[in-house]
Amino acid sequence: MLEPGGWDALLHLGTMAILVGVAYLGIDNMRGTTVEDNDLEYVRARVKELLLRIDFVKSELRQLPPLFREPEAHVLLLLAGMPLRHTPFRRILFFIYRQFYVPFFGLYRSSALRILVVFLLASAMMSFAILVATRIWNFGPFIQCQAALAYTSFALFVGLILAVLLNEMVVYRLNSLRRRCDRYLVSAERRISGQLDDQLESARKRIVISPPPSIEEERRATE
Amino acid sequence: MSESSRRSIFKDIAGGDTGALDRAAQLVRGPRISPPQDDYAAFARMRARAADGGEVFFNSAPAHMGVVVRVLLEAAVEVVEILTGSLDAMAYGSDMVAQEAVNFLKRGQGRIKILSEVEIEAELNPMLRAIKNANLIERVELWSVPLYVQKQYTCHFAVVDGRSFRFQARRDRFEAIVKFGDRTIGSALRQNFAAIEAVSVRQGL
Repeated sequence: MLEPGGWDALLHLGTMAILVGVAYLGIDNMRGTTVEDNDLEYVRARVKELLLRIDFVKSELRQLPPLFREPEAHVLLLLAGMPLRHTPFRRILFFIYRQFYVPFFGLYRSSALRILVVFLLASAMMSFAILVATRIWNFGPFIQCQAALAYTSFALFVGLILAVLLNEMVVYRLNSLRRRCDRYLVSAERRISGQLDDQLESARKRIVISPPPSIEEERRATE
Repeated sequence: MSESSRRSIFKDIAGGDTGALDRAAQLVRGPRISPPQDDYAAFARMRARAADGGEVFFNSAPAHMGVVVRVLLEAAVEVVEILTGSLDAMAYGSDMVAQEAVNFLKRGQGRIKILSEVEIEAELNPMLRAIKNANLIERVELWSVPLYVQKQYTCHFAVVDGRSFRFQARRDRFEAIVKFGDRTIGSALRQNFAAIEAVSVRQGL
């Protein structure tokens, strides 16, 4: 059985968690749209332009061009909606690497994280109402299992706050996408420009046609 | 893809539909992943329209060779000069390229000059056949490059009006670069074309 002060603390925690959850869902409606519409679209457009410039057609490649052997490029392709296939081992490595770059991106894109917050918020609100009812009116069956109710409520409140923090972390990382994408693309473009300049240089070269070899010269060459 | 659509593709192939071969190839390979041809064509056209010709870009996917040739023909006004192995089907064999070549010749007094490393039968080449059918073949010159000359260069290219080009540094590799509106390199390529043309043999069409 909890101390009376413990119930107050739990109710305060519940109030805070519900406020955080409600505020997050309100804020996220705006911020989520901004990230989707601006930063991800920006990354998609830039990556697509780069792919067009190097004429990258995945289905026709036998080997990845050097540019895409770096994990950072794989992440950008993933963000641009063009994920590359990996061997199982590389898939695990890439999954770990990806979490540093855009943590839980798949969950974020599928709205699973937001759905988790909504689910936890609904559960926390219900749990909070039962807690209050139990404390004020010694409400029905719950008075028999107050300890279980307290643990469940605590887990829901803390879970809700952690889920909101996790969402915020993902959004924070996504907000810096544009800067990181630019930085990578600048270095990629520098490398492409080097290759293109080499080709332009050979296009500039003058072809000098020598006269056909005489029969005598040909005979000497074959000897 | 459903079993019925697979069957219909195979039926089309049996019936001689060449488009069905492409659909069957896609069936085997899986769907093409971007950038699709339309995007690439739009990208190339945007650079062709840019006042300064835009930036140079790669043309390495075999499926996109024809796309670039088509955009070059769209941009052509006076002369298209092509140094090629045999006007290969990948770059010059599609109906769209053939149609665009006819459109170019119909637009004004344009000419097409081709330096080929192997003998080309006009009837067997879709582009030349389309031009011949449009009664415009007299505006096409076909030259055969002697073997000893072929040994003195490694590149293939198509240059349009001495300012836009597709340049393939090595004839045995698909990888090429494309640039629109570059008179410096365009005129260098024209000079190279003229140098090879001067020692080549004119073919009848």
